[in-house]
Amino acid sequence: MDFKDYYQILGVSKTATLDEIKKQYRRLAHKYHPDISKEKGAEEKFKAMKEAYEVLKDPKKRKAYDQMGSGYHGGDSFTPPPGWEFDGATQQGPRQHHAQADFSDFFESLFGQNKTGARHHQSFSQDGQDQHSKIQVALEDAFTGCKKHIALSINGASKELNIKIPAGIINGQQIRLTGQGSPGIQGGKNGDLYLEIHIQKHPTFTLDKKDVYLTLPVTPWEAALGEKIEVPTLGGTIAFTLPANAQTGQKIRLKGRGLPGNPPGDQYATLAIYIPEPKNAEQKALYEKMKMEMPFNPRKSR
Amino acid sequence: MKIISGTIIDHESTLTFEEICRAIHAEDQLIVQLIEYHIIQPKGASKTDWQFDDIALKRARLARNFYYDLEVNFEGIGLLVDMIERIGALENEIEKLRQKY
Repeated sequence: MDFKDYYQILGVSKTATLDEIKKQYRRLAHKYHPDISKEKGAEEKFKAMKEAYEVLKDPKKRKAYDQMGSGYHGGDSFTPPPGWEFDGATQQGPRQHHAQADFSDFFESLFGQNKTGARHHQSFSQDGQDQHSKIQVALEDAFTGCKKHIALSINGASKELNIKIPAGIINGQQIRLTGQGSPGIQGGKNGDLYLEIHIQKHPTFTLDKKDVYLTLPVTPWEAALGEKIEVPTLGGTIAFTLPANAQTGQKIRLKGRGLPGNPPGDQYATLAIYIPEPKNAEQKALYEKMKMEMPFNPRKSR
Repeated sequence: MKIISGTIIDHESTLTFEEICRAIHAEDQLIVQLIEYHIIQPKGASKTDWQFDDIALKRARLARNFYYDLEVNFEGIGLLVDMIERIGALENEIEKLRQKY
């Protein structure tokens, strides 16, 4: 495994005071916290920072890390010194205990409760932890339902699953897969796996829960005469007769044409009237004629 | 390979108190405090009847992360979770408005 330079990761000097370390962590946490940050790779960065902070903010861990790690550089190949035992574990509050859930092997080998070998000696049964992961789904697949092959890493072991994504799932919703989380120890129950659904952005359709939104271009005559037009929906093109004198911005509701469910969502098509560009004298004359015969000032009619 | 189906967590398929604690790796006490501070609201009158839906699960997960990672107090956590929800709604609204054919 690789040696981790916690000072470098956190961007503090080796002589930084506890106060400086805390301030630097807070500054970086505000920037990279994955629930807030829009930065690329924020999640990975934040995980590394959290781990570095966990060690450097704890005087006992920091001292042990400093003694053991002098002479190593970040990325050096590393094995803990033989007989390494960290017994300086300060009484941990719940905040610390839970924060350590997914630290690196490097951290585990030095300070972890599941240090190599420890698992084999455990004689009492323990339930496996629930796990959480995210999965990207195309909008079309969310509409029809689909099968997804996913590969994920649970407690360092890779796991592959074929899962069914039911039709009509909403963005951000979570699917619970019973027993697919961390395995239980000594007869303990397996944890569950929660998969958070992220529906990918679509070039034509936008979602709001189960409702689907679309901007629909129409010609002036289709709008004025209330003609029958074709409207794309996730379930295929449907024919729809516009109300006469429809205007740009007007919303047409297609009941039940959104994501399936009970009740299903609706589709809303916002009309946008596009004018044809006159390409010759005759076509230009048509506009001239309209101007003469249909005096109209949209800025006054409001 | 076998295809497995899960349960979608929504307003009908909910989680119990123990289940939500395990799902987000939180102490019992943290969930109780999130309820006391109105950050999440379960259905049901007492602890044994509590049911947590998809919205509660999502908000609890965010709150948990802020609690353990940012050392924010509960007033701050409530504010952050509300703000994140509002930003999400606004971003969605902007996307709808920007949409071109």
